[in-house]
Amino acid sequence: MKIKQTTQFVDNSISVRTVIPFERKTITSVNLLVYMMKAQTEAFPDKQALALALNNAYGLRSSFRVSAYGRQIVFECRFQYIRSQWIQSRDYLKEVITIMDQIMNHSVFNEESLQEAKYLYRTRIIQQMDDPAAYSVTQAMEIIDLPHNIRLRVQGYPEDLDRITLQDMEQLDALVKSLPHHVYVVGQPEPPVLQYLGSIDSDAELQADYEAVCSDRFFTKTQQRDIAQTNMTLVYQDQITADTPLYFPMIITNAVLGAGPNSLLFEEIREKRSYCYSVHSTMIRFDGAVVIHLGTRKKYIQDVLSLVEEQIRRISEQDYEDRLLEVSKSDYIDGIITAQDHPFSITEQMFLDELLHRQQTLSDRIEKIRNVTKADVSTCAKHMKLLSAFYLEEETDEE
Amino acid sequence: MKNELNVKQETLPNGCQVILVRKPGFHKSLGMLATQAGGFDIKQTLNGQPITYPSGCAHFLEHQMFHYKGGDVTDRFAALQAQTNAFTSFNETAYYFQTTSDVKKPIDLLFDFVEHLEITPQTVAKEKGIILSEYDMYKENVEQRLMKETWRSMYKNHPLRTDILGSREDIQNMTVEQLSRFYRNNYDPSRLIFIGITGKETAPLLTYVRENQSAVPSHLPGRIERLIDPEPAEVVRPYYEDQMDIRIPFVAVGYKLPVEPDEKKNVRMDAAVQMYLDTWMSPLNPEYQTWLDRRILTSAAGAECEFSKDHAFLFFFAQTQEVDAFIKIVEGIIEDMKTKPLDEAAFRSLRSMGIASNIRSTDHYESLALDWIRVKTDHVSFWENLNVLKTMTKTEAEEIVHGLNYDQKCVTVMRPKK
Repeated sequence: MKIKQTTQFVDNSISVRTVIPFERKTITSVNLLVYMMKAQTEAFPDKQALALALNNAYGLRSSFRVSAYGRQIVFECRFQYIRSQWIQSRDYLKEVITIMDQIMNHSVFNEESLQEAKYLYRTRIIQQMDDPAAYSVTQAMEIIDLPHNIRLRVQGYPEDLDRITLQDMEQLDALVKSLPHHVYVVGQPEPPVLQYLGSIDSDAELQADYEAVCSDRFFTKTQQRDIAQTNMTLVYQDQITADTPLYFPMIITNAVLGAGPNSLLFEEIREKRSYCYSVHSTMIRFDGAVVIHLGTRKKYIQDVLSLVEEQIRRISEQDYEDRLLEVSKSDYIDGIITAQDHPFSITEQMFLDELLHRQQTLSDRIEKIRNVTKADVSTCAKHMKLLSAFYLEEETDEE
Repeated sequence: MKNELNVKQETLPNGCQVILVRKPGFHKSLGMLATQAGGFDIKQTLNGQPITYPSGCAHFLEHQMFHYKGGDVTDRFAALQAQTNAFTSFNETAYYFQTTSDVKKPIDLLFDFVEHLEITPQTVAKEKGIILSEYDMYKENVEQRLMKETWRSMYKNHPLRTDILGSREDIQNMTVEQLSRFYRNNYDPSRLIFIGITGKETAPLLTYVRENQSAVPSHLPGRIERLIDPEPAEVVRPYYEDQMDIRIPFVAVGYKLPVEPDEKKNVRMDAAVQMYLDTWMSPLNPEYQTWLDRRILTSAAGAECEFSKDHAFLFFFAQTQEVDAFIKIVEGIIEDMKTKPLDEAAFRSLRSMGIASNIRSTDHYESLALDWIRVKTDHVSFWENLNVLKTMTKTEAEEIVHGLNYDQKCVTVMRPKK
């Protein structure tokens, strides 16, 4: 168990993570598990009972997340409860522990809860995919027709639902329970809570499993919908992952390119030419890729494509102000310092360090960022190669 | 145990209100400078004389403000190791920076750029394309469209019916003169509120801000007030339907409520009604499971209310194939709200939640800053606001909710395109 002791927050925040393989055949079931685990438990046989218990425990927060790390999925249970020094209730900690234990270990699965989970999941996915921006990003990955996890949807596939049975879910639940749990805590956990968490924590070593995507091919697709503007997503492979020497330079390359309002994409596409309101780039560190997304008019697509390529070229040729590099570095450093004010950012960092077997302090990371040079960033940009492009275009040009 | 918040407040000689909150142990500092003017400020009075602006003026100006000394002020903040952003809501426009480094220079820069306007026909023309792209982005969001049309159905005159971004026509036709006039009337120091939230000592910062503003007098020739045209009690459109590129319909059932001019009463009404909504439209209600079983609700469903001195409403929304069944559910809930008491167990659990919210509220910078801005513009006490659930009794909540007039209903449906 990893604990950051601090009185900075009024809550104690707990992250319990289980690592499972990221596979096409099981990812939808993993997402269904999220719905089923909170529907019913042995002690809280319906949603009303659980809702009352959470409220009565002074707003104990409970949530699940399913996240991809290369060839692995992390199934995460999160809890947040107000530190007991703020609460004048003798049974408070007992209630907190009971609720956490019930949710994680005593879910009741039956046909009704499975059907409900399928229904809620299906309607949620439909809503997500109706959003043009989310759809564009998902499709840009899916069209990458390579044997690589980058094309898999971490949200799962509604078309799988009909074949998933109660037995499948029970087996998955049993599997998740049997696998090592890794516990991360931020706050000042009380002895009874620590004792409980210690009983579920495993000291099994975490092993990362990932590989950078690499291909000479290029994948593209265009679709049209009755929407107000084109949502375009470009995926660039860079073959730089979290364990490579160029990892920190790549973070800064992404920042210079399009991570915020001081970036080249923001300046050239939005500010100088007014082609869009929103443009940004994001690193996928376990797949070795950068995703660029923006909303613009159909008539500007070719200009935008040229501009994106031009900015990558500029970075590789070091053709931008030194000031931009320094600002990108200091913004990123500010971001990782500010992350210390967010409990689940702290737990995420603790997990990553354990997964990647890094003995790295905050100062170490800041130092690595400070040491990134324009030449390093240029090297990273030279690695970038367009892998896929997806365009969700507006059907009509409405002015 | 009470959550102690270390707060310093002062109104400066030029009228600017300053609030500084100390958060020991936190790395980040936030400085926010807001004007008490936003999307609602399409009409105002200056010393009683009416003024009209194009819709979207506050928001367009927010975009323009970042032009500073021939460049983008974002770059200057970046050089100070601070990140900057801004937003326009219905009631305010706010500019803020965040940093883990020195705060004094960013404070200087924040005041300097907000208290100076630099726009030209070229900067205005350039911004139109960006704002129209933002407009298109929101047009694609079904929940935003649902809300917008619900307000249009409710309100004939109130600016809630007008997009904060403005109409396409007003965006395209915006001029330097219109923006400058809005600026002159609303960005005077007497209309500004500064919130600083930091782990650093706040007494020296208060002195610093005081000195910064000592050379910035108020120029406002009189009193600026928002002008909201009288609003009929009735809704405009009892029913509205449109189509979007979605696969499952979204429906909203809204109730236009009578207005209460006393903001302190509004705070309590908001809390009382929200308690009922949290009880009825959530798993706290045993019927909620029945609605799920009948596939009327999905995870995109809820209810909200808002009470202020010039408007009051509540609405229920859902993503659902069973539009008519959802409307019936809402009508049933409203009937219950007219007479039924709050469930005792649910009430007690919501009180505990309220206490928790009180304790937690101070850990979140941005929402804390916004809470302070809102209490200053609404002239209510931050502490009264924070403690309302603690002091609310079941009887009081029931009396408030039973006494409301739910006659004015409107339904909005966004359906999939055929």
